[in-house]
Amino acid sequence: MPNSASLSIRLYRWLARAFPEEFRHAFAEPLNQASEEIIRDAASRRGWLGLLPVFADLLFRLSAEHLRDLSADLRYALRQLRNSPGFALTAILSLTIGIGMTTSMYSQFRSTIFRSLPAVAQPATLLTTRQSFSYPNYKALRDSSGQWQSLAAYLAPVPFALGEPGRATRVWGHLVSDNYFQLLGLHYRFSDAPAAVISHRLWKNHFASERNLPGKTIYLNGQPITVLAVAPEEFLGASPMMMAADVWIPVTAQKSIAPELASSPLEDRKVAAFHILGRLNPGLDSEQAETAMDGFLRRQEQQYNDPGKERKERRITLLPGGRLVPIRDQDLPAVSGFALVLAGLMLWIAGANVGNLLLARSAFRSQEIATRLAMGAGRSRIIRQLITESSLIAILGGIGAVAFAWWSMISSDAVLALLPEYTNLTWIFDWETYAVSAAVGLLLGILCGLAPALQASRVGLAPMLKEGAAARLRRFRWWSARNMLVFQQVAGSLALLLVTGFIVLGFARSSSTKLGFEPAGLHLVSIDPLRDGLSAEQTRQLISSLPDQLRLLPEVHAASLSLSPPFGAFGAESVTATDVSPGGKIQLSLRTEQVGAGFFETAGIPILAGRAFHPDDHRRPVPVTIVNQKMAAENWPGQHATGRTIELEGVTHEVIGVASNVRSGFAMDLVHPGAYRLTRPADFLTPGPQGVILLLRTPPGVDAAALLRRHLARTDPRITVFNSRSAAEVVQKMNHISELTMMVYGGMGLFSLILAVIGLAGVTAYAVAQRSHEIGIRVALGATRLRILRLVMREGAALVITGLVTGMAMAISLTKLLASFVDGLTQALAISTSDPLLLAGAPLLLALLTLAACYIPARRAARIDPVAALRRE
Amino acid sequence: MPKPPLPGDFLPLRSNWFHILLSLADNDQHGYGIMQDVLDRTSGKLRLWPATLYGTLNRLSQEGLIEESPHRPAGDLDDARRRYYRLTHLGRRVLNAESARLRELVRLIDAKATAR
Repeated sequence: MPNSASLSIRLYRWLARAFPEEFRHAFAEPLNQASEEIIRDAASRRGWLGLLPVFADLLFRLSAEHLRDLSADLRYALRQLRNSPGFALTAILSLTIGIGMTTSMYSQFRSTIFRSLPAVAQPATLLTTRQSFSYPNYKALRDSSGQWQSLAAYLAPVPFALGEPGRATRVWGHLVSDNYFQLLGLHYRFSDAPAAVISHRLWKNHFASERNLPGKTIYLNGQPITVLAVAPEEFLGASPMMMAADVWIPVTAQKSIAPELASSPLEDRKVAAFHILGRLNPGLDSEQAETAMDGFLRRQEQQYNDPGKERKERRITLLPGGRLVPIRDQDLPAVSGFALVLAGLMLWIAGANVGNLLLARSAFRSQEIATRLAMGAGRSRIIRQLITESSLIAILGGIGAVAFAWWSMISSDAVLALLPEYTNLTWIFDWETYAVSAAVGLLLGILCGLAPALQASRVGLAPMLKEGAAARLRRFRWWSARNMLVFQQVAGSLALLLVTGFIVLGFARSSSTKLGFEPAGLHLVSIDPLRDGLSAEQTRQLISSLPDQLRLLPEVHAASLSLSPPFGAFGAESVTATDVSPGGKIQLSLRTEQVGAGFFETAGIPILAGRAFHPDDHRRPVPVTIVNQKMAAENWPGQHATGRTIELEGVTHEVIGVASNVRSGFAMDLVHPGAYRLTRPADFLTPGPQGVILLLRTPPGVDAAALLRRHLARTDPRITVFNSRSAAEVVQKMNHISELTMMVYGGMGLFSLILAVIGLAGVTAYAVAQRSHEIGIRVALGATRLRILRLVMREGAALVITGLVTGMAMAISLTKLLASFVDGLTQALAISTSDPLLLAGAPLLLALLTLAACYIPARRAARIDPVAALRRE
Repeated sequence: MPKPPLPGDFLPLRSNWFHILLSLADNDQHGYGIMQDVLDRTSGKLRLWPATLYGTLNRLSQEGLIEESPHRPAGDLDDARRRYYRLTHLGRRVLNAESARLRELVRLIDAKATAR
C-alpha cells in the first residue's frame, strides 16, 4: 500500500510541525526520517493497524512537550512576578477590582430585577399593573372587559400574629382572590371553611417540617384556621421580593381573621388597595389591552361618579408580572444602566492600566528578550512566554475578583437590614456574570500582553544588545498606542474620580445633616392588639390609654405613639396637599406621618413656632396638623405658617405649629417637606403593616421592650411586643449605609487615582528609557538639564491636560445621567456637582499627581550621562 | 547558582533513559541507530517510537547526560541529516550508578532465592 504509506508520512510530518519551535528546530529532520522508515515498514507488514502506535506515540509526545513548555513558562512567569511584586500587585489588584466590581454589581441586578418569580408557572406571560385597584373595580375588570384569560387580586403585605394568643410571632402574608393559586400554577381550592396556605420555609422553620400539617389547625390573629396546604419550596407568592408571603388566606375569609377585612374592602370602591396579576387572552397585544381597559375604567368612574373621574393620568399601566420587580423591558437599561456604566468604566480603566504596565515593562525587558532571542529562543516562544505572564496576572486577578465580589455582596447585606421585614432580598452570586467578566478580564490581559509581546519580539537583535534602546530616533507621536493608553486612562480616571467624588460628597453632606431628634434614650416598640385577638373596643381603649399609663412608670420619662415608623426610610406616606388658606392655592407634595400627643416631646423634636399636639386636639371640629420647617420655608417663605389651612387627602387641616426638620432615613434623601397629623382612636383599628409603634424615652440601661412586656402582662397577656429597637440603632443603621457607600465609591475614586498615577509613571519611564540615547545626544550638544526636564514634562503635560478636559466632560454627562436614574441622588448631587472644591480640586489633584509621576523619570532623563548613553552605540 | 546534579539524583532511571544510555555506552550513535539497537537488545520487546525517542533524546541532552558528537563515520556511511550522540561524563556516571543499583537488586533477589 504505497499510497496509504506516503499519505501517512505526509500526515505525520504535518502533525509533527505542531511540536514546540525549539524541539522542531533540533529534531524535525531526524524525526521525519525515522518516522518515514518506520511507517513504511509498519504499513507493509501490518497495514493501517501497524500505524496506530506510531501516531499514538506522536500525539502523546506532542502534548507532553507542550505541557513541559507551559510549566516552564509558568515557573518563569511566577519568578518574574515575584521579582517585581509592585508591578504584579498593581496589575492583579486592577483586575481584581475591575472584574469583582462588575460581577458583584451585575449579580445584584441578576438576583433582583432580572429574575423571574420562583416556583410559578409560565412567569413570562404574567402581567401586573402599576396601579392598585379597589375590589369592585378588580371584579369589573376581570369579568367584563374581555381582555383577561385569568385575573387575580391580592392584598399585601398583610401581617399576621401566628400562634396561640400570648405566644404569637409575627409573619407576613397575602389576602388573595380564590383564583390566585390557579393563576400561578398551583391547584389549591379554598372551600367555605377557614383555611390557609403556608409557605415551605414557614413550614420548615416554624412547624419543624411536620409531615401531617395540612388539615391541622393553627392560630392566625388569635383565630383557629385549618392548614390547606404547604406551598412548594421557594414559592413566596406573587411578589416574593417586595412583599414576600408566608401565609395566604382568601379574601372571602370571615372578617374577624384579619383587620384588613373588617372594613369590608370587598365592597369599598374608594380604597384602591388590591394588587392585580393576570394573563391576557391569547393573541392580545398588551398595548391594545391597556388602552381598552383604560377606557373601561374611565367609564366605570363616570358611572359611579368617582371623585377622581376627571384625572388626566392613565388608569392602568401594564407591567410584566412574572419578574421579581415589575419593570418593563424598555425600562431595564434605565434602572441598571448607571451602575453598569460605572462598573464598565472600572473594568476599562483596570484593563487599560494592566496594558500600560505590561507595555512599560516590556520596554525594560527588551534587553532580556533580545538576550533570549540571541540564545536561540524562538520568537513564538518569547511571545508565548509574555502571554503566559499576562494570562497569569489575569487568572490571579480573576481569582481575587471572586473574593472581592463575595465581600462586596456580603457588605451590601447592610442595606437589606434597613428594608421592611416583609421584603425578601437575597443576593445570589451569579457565576454566569463572573464567567463573562472574568473572560473579558482574561481577554484584556492576553490582548494587553500580546501587543507589547509582539513589539518586543520584533526588535532588532544588534541594537538591542548594544543597549541603545532606540536605534532610530522617534518623534513624539500623538497617535501612538502608548499616548492613547495614557490619554484614555487620564480621562477615564478623572471621570471616575469626579463621579465618585460627587457621590461621596453628597453622602457626606447628608450624613452630617442634623438628625433633628434626640436618639439617646429613645426606644421604639411595636404592638398590634387587634391581630392578637383583642376586640375593636378593647384595642381602642388599650392604645388610647397606654401612653398615659406608661408615663406614670418611674423608668419612663416620656411616651407617645406613631402609626408609621418615624426616622426610617419607609415610614412616611406621600400625599398631595392643597393650600386653601387665603392667598394661596398651591399643590404641594409632602410626606405625612400620623403621631400621638406628646410625640415631639418624646422624640426630642423641637417645635419652632406655634405648639405641639394636645391630647384633646382630635375632638376639635377642624383637624390640626403640624408641618415641618422645610414645608413652611418652601411654601410660605418669610410668612407665618401657623393659622393657615391646608387640605390633606381631601380633609381641611389647620396648621398649628412648625416642627424642626428630621432627617428622613435613606442615605442621600435629605429632608422632605412633611406634615404630622394627630392619630384619632379610630385609626388604631386600621393599623398599618408596622402595627402601632410606641415611643419611650427612658434613662440609659432600661430595656424598654421588657418594661412594656411587664406592663402589658398585667393589662392583657394576649398582646405580643415585637420589633423593639433603640433609636440609636436606627440611626446607626442609617449611617452605616452612608459610610458603606462612601467607602465603596471613595475606594473606587482612590483606586482610579492610584491607577492613573501608576500608569502614567510607567509610561513616562518607558518613554524616557526609549529615548535615553536621543537625550544623551541632546545633553552632549549642550542642552541644559532644565531643558531636558521641560522636554519630557511637556509631552506628559500635554497628554494629561487633554485627558483632563475629556474626563471632565465625561464626568459631567455621567453625573447628569446618574441624577436622572436615581431620584434619591438628585438632591445630594445638586449640591455636590456645583462644589468648586471638587470641580477644581479633583482635576488639580490628578494633574499634580500625574505630573509628579512624569517628573521622577524626567529627572532621571535629565541626569543621563551623555558619555554613557552614547557609548552604548 | 543551582548545584551541579549528582548521578544519584537521576536514580532509579526510567527504562527508556537506561536503554538509550546503554546503547551509547560503547560507541556514538544516531537516533535511528539507537532505536534499532534497543529493539535488537530487548529481542523486539522495547520499541522506542520516533517521537518518544527524540523527545527522550531532547530530555537527556537538556539534563546533560548526552551530547551531540562531533565524530562522524567516514565516507558513504555518513548521512548529513543525521545527528550523532555520545555520553557525557555525567551520563556515564549515571549509567554506572544505575547499573550498580540493578546489580545490587539482582544480588538481593538471588540471595533470597538461595535462602529458600
